[in-house]
Amino acid sequence: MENVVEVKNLTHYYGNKLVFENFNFEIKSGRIFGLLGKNGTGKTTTINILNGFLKPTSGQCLMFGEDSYKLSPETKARVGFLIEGHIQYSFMSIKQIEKFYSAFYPKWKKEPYYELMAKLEVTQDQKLSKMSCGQRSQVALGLILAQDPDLLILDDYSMGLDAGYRRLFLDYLIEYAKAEAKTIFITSHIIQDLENFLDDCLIIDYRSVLVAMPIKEFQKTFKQYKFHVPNPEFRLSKNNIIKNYEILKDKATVYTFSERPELEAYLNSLSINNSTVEEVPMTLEDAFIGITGKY
Amino acid sequence: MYSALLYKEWLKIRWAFFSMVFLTMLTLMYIALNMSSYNEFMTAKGFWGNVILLGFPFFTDIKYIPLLIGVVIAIVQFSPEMNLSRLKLTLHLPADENKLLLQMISLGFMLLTILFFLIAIILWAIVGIYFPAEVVAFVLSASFPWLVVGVASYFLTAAIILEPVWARRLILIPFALGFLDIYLSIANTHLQLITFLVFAAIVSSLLILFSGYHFKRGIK
Repeated sequence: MENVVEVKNLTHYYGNKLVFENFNFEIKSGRIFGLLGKNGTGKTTTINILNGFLKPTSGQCLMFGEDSYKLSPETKARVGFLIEGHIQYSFMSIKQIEKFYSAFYPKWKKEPYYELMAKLEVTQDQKLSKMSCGQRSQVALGLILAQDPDLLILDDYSMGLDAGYRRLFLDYLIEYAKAEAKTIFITSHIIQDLENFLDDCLIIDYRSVLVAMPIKEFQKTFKQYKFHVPNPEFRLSKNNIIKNYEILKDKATVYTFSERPELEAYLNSLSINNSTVEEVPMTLEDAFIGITGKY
Repeated sequence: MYSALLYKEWLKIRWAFFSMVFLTMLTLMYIALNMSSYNEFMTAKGFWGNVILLGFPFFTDIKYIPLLIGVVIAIVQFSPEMNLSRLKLTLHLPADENKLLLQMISLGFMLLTILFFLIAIILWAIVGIYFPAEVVAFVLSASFPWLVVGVASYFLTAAIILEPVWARRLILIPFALGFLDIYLSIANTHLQLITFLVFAAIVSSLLILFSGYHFKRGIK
């Protein structure tokens, strides 16, 4: 499968502050790829670099084999870009903005746009500035679908949206992506919405990559165990087995990619009673919090 | 594509443009009414004498109007682009980025040219009611630098608004003010410099490309 996006040894600083170092990932054609991380971990910075709106300190980003720093108009036409907050030209009406963009994109299909607009209780002459955040998100999505891009980059599509509009957004996106075999690169801070949507995920923390794998593999291999510790002062440490942990009173929770026997052997070496070890099922959001921590 | 971009720019500018046309008409009407009253109260001979022998500046109320028009058009055109970084939408369009920026300012430039041409025509008409062709020609040549100032103020204001780096904005602002002040102070007295000033005004439009470059590369 062709790599639509390739990020190689990407390092970026804002002044003296390191955002990430030697960041590597790739997105295969037709995959839905989620970049997940807490606020301030560099998700929007990555997207800005990918779209050529920021020059990285070092490293390289390729989109359709072209350096993102100097994308050709032909490549830009293949990329649909949703800016964080569903930013669009708010001084335009629904009809005007469709007319404007249609002139730029050779594969423009207005039908999906107007189909989506028909679901909103607005007239075609209504200005975007007079619409709710949820309605504006549908306009932004409709414009991207009408553009018919090969790659959709969606920066925090969920920002400011209530549950209904988030669902509507994803339902449309899933239907479109599957039917047209599109590649999607998405970031969001509402992880549970993406549980049945993503193919691959990259979970980042401040300055480092925590997970890079298919989402199903992550959900299958990343586990949460709870057990009793000898006393509340007992301390664990992060290592190859324990990726993260919490201790509350005499109960510990650990997150691990290791199989149960390996974990139990390790806990045994710490004089912890294995009989209290209990696996607790996790949602994607639980797993995300488990790997990134609550703070 | 160019016509679509012009369409978008026009949607932003149109109300400001019509407001500026209205303001210009009011100012020219004011000048015409003043000329009529000078002609009545000074008598035609006295008015002529004041203008031709003493250089009575009966048309200077228009002096700062082109400057104001240039600044206002640039603000209404480029502020929405910088608000929430909407310029990203424009720069993501499948076209050469510099070309897009130059096409954006080309509409502003065209509208200013139309408006300033209108000013020149109306001045020519109202001054021609009372004075011979030589005085009309003098009024138009004396007003021309103010119109050039209007164009320069548009380009410079656009470059300042599009500049994402505040430190550079703080350098551009005094530069622009000084540049425009020189225009307004020496243009009338050194008419031989006008070719240079027109050239400098056109070159100042290129500043927008530097501001656009800084925005595009995320330079902060």
